[in-house]
Amino acid sequence: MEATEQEDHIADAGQFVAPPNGGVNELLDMGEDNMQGQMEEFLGPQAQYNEEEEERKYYRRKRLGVIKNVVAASLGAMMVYSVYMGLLQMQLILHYDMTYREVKYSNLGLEDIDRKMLMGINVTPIIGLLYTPVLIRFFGTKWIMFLASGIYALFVSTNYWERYYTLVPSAVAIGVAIVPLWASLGNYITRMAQQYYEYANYKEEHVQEQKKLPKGACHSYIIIFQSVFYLIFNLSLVFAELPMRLVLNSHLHENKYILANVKVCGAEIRGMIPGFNTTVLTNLPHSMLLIKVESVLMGFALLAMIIFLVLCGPAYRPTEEIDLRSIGWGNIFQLPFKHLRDYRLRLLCPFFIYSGLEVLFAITGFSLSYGVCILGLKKLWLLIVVYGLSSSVFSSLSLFLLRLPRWLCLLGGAAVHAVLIIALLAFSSKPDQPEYLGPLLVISVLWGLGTALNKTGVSILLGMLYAEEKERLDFIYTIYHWWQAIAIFIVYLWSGLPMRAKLSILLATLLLSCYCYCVMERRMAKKVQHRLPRIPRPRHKVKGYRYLEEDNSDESDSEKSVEEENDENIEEMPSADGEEEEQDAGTEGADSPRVWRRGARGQQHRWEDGHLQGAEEEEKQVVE
Amino acid sequence: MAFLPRELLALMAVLGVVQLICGYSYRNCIEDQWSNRKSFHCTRRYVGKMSNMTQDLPVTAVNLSISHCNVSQLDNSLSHLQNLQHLSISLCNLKIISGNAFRSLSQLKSLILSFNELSELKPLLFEDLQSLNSLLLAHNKLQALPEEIFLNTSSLQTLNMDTNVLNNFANVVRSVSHLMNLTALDLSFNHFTSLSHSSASLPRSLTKLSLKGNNLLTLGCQATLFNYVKLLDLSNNARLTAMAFKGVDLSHLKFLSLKLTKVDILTFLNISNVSRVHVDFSGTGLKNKTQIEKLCELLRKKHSIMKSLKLDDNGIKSTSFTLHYCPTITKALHLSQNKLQTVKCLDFLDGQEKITEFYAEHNRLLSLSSCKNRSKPALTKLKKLSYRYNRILSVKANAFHLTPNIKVLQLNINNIAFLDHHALKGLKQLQELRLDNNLLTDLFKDTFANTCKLKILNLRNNRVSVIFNGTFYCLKKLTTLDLGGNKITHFQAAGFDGLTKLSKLYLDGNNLKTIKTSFYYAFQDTLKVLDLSRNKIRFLTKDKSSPFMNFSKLTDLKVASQRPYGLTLLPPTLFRGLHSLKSLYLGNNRITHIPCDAFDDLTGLHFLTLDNCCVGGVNLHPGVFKNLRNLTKLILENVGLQNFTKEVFGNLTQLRILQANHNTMQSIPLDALESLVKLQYLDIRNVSLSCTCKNSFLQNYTLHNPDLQVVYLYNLQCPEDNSKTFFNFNTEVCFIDLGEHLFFCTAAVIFLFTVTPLLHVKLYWKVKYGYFVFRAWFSEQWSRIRDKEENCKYDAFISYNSVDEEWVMDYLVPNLEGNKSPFKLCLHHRDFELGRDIVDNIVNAVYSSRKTICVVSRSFLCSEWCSLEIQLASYRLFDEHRDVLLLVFLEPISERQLSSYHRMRKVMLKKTYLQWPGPDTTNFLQARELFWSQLRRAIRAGNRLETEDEAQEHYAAQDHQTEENQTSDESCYLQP
Repeated sequence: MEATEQEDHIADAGQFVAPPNGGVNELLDMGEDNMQGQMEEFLGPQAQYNEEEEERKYYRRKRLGVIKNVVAASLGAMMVYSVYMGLLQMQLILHYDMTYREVKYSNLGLEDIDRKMLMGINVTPIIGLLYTPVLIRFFGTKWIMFLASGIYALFVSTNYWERYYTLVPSAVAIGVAIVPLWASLGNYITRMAQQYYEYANYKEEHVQEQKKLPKGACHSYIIIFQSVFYLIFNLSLVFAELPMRLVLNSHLHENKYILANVKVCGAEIRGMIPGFNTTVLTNLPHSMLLIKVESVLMGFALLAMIIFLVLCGPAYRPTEEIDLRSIGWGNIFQLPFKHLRDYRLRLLCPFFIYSGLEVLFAITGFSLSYGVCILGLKKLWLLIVVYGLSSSVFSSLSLFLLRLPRWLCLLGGAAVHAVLIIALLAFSSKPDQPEYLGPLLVISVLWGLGTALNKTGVSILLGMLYAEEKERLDFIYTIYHWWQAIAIFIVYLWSGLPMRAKLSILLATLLLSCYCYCVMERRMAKKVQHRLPRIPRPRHKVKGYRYLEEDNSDESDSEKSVEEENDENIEEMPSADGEEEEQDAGTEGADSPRVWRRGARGQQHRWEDGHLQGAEEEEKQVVE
Repeated sequence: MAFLPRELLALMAVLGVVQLICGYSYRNCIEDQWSNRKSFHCTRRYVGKMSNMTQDLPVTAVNLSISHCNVSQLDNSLSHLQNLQHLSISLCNLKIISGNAFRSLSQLKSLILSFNELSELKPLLFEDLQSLNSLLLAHNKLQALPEEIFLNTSSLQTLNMDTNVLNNFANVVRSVSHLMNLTALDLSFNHFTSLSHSSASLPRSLTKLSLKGNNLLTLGCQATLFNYVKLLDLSNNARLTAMAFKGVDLSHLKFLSLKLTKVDILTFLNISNVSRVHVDFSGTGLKNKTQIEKLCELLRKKHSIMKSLKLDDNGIKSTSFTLHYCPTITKALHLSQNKLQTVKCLDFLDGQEKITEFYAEHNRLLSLSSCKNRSKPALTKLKKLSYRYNRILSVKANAFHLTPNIKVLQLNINNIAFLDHHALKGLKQLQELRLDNNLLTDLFKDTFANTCKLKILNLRNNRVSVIFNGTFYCLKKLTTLDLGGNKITHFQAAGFDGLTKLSKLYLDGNNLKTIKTSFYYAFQDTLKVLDLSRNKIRFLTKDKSSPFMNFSKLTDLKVASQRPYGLTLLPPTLFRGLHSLKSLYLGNNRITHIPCDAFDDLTGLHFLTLDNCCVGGVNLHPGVFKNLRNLTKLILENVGLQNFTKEVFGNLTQLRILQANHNTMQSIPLDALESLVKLQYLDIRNVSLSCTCKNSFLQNYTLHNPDLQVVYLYNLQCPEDNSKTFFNFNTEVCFIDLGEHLFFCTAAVIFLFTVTPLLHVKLYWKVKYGYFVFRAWFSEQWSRIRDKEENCKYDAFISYNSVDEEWVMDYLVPNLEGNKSPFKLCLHHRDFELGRDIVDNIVNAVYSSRKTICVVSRSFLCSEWCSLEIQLASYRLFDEHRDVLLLVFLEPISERQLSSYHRMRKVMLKKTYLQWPGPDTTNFLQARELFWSQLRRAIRAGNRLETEDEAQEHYAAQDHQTEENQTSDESCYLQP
């Protein structure tokens, strides 16, 4: 900080002292003493410059910036999802209506398009694991969020003009974007917690040296940030119901008509709602009205894009980003798979799947087969709003993890859900029973509670497990959300199954995931070693501006060979507290001026450190 | 007051509906074609309320006919049709007519309310109908008329109330008594038992009174009742006897019918003062000879001439009577509906030579025998003879010998199988001959040999199978020949010879298989109507020639319904040459394919019907109707039309009526409809127009077009859902265009908005770098283009000291200017202008040359002129940024030596230069080659400030140079 500022001052002074004009120069030379006095005077206030104070203010601004990033990312994601889900729900209901389809499109092709669209959204994410890390590292975390929001906006745009060749490609694009979006969101929030820790503890040696953070140092920030994120994000379900509530509800038929052929609701039915009337609209909404609704949604989608673009700062410093993508695209491609060797992740997989299953079950299975079937389509919005509100509000419950053990959150949510699933297994009723509104709302609220605990729990847990490893976060979150995508796909597949089967699958998954989670916690408590793939040293191209000085083709060649050896044969086996996990983290730059000043000088010996460490590891390997 | 709001509401609803419908189509009525919003008929619309039918009719309606509908009550739903003149509401089960039903219909002239269930009429019902002329109330259940009902209808002329249950004649008379214009009153088939009418009397103007079919036993009227009546019909009053007429004044009657009464006609004639010759004696039981002759005597007593004698329906069995004693009949004798078996050459007409018409229809005549042998005076005045509806089997030769001057002979609807060769002999005046519906099998050559004045010959529904040569040879004046319904399979070659004036030929329902042009040559220039429908014509190949080629005046052509397979194939040439054709009937023909040039010659066609013409869905090619620019009516009923496109129908600019019902097109493109600019009447009933956005514009068009009537538009159902109707299916969801535009706009915006920041972040420097690279390249190209444009006189001006002239002349000029290279040099001794100032010359040389080559040697440096030249050239460099200076060192000059020439050194420091390889240079020949090529290139190069790579080249050249020089003189190494 001081360095740069001083330099600046000198430069300023220099300008004063030696302007390019020769004549003036002479003049100044003559009255140099006088000038010197003036200079002192001019610089006088600067003399009282309190470096500590300024630094403190600087980091406070930085911390506020981090909080702004978290809030902006949450708001952006919330908007994108409100728009997306609101539009999707509205369009699916409209397209479900036979009259609407016939009048507007004069054939039944639209239903087919919708099916294809859902398939595009649900099936494409399965291959997400292949490209997500590559994509994230190519564009950067923030840019992926921006890009994904662009794709969602494009989906809104295509709904202006519903054709096979507009809807299906945009649905596929959404399918492609889902896993990267969520992986980067998770990554971003966790990374923000790390940054916050760094800015809060800027004086610490390990922060200034850009070493790895101490174990558990930023856990509390992770908890808070993830809670805030889900607190805001879950509101998307509330806003997503606005189009339904404000526009569509007035066009819907009465329950008697819609549910005329429905025999039974709840646990006993098979499929979504067998016998549901194929026309649900009393009168078709004016297309101008739909265009207006879509335009409003479009506006919000654009707003979300702008939020991501303008308000979300970058998650990594540019130098870090370069390092992240300089480990070789092949490695980036492989690493998510290699991370699955970590037993902690493996044992969490059921939970990942469950967290996908339960959300989708809540907004499709439960709200349709129980909610709509019993209360009618006009009450759908209420159920989902209540669900969204409760999951949003109860997301704050996970703040208790600051005091309580972390298993409480996940297992608490699981317990709530287990009870609810068992209750739902037993619950079935006749259609069109408005008196069940109360109980269903309660179930909705409780399910929201469970969802909140589950979602925040899993995210927080992942963040805590990998809190210190900022270069692994994207792999971890990719895996998490890929499993969720698989779960979504399962829900998409099971839509024809009997409700009891669905619930049983849910329950089984839940129990399995609880068991696995407990196993994991026990192993961790026993400090069982987990395998973490080694992340190779960044291989920068010779042209990279930062490495010109120490560029030595021979050296890099040798390194490369060593690295490759490492990559192929050696896996890091850090102890539970992970002290030796330090590797090539040295290359990070920092925004801190002090670090900047150290810049080039520090770089070299850090590299050497790295070399040394590599050698040590090799030695260790040999010893072992 | 409670009902008022409801009434208002109803009114507003009606108004709303009317407001809503501003198009030309009507809910339950059809405007008659061509009627220009004047005539409407509403039939078979079972909508319950009259207002539903009439509410959307325009005020211009003049004729309105409502029939076959189930409306029990007529309220004021006609009140808005103030121009109505003819109104008919029949067969509607009408029971009640409210008092104000016809209010404001002051223009109404005729009102028909027959065949309803009316049992009473409101007293002021016809109050406003001042101009009513005729009123028909037949076949209702009226029992009485209110007395004041006709109070204001003073212009009523005809009143028909037959088949009601009226029983009080006085009541009727009272209500009509003041109608001063009433001429006809029909009260037949009511329940009157007497005609007592108290004080009131029939209006004087009444001339026709029909009271048939009542239960009159006596008349019971005042003697003067029939004082002004001219025509009185009392038939079918089965109980009426002659005595009833006693004392009734019938002297003014011009016609009296007493058919089927108990009146003994002879008694009656004696009792009554009726003018005897004006009595209709039909159905009065005058059976036998004595009765008829007695009648004649009675008639003869008072009259010597009578116009016509009607003896229909009297059961007369034989013609043994003579009418000799009767008054002279000047016009007609009616003997129809008797039981005559023979007319015996009209023997009984002895003494009645003035008779002109004789009718013996509906008798039992079996044959018409020959009359040639009779020596009777001929009935020369007889003009019309009718034997219709008899059982005549044979007509013998000379059967009409005694009636040589008849013009009209009606022998139709008999059993004539034998028509003698000479049966019609002598009928030279015959103009119309009807022989239809008989059993004729052959037409002989001499059958019509004498009837040369025949104009109309009807032979329909006989069994003629062949037309022999010369059958019609004599009929030069025949205009109409009806041969329909026979079994004609072919004509002999000269079968139609002689028919030179024929204009209408009906050949429908025969067994013709082909159309041969040669048979029709006799009348091909006069024929106007040709009916060939229901034959067995069939085309299986595409004939090349047209059978109708020469029918230049043919206006109507019917080839519809060929049996049993239809036309099958429509040859493209079939209708060639029919330029004057106005109507063409092609329906029911199972045509598989309509060629696109089939109708090309029918430029005058007004009417074309293709109903049921085709097998399956007809595929109308674009342009098939391209020449039918005069077509006004087109019937395309049930042709399986699937696409209604502009390409097919676009040329029918005169089309007014289009019937396209029972087709399968799902939509009608609006542009196709709009291209039919004169279309007024469009029938698309039972077309499965889909209620989808594709047709949203069509819906709007049909609803709001003020010039196009779509028949029963409001009953058109959606094929998807029969409970929905086409005219009001929801089009609000159809704004597809706007959505499309929005999609493209927003998608582009989003794409740009996504990609631009990404590109900015990812590729900013690359783009910037690329931009500068491009700019450099471009400016270079640009300068090159500029240089090419530059027009210099010389390529190079050589500046040298005359000491070096030898080198210049020996080496430089041959190398640069000779055949080898294209350069043009400027040498001072050669090219300087004579007499000009030397400085001018130098300036001129420098500025008109692209380059200035300074041949530097020690002597050059000493020369002032050379110094001037180099300065001028370098000025150009500094002033214009044009690098024109090229330095060639002839000998190595050390820097030290140069330093004295301050300016020269400055130039040297900036410029690269060439060194002439001296003879001491190793391998100097090669070096010199290189020198020259360098120099040439330098001259050729553009003279903008050098770009980098050029400089590079110079470096290279210089390096080369220096390398060479290094050996000779180290000190000459001049670094630029």
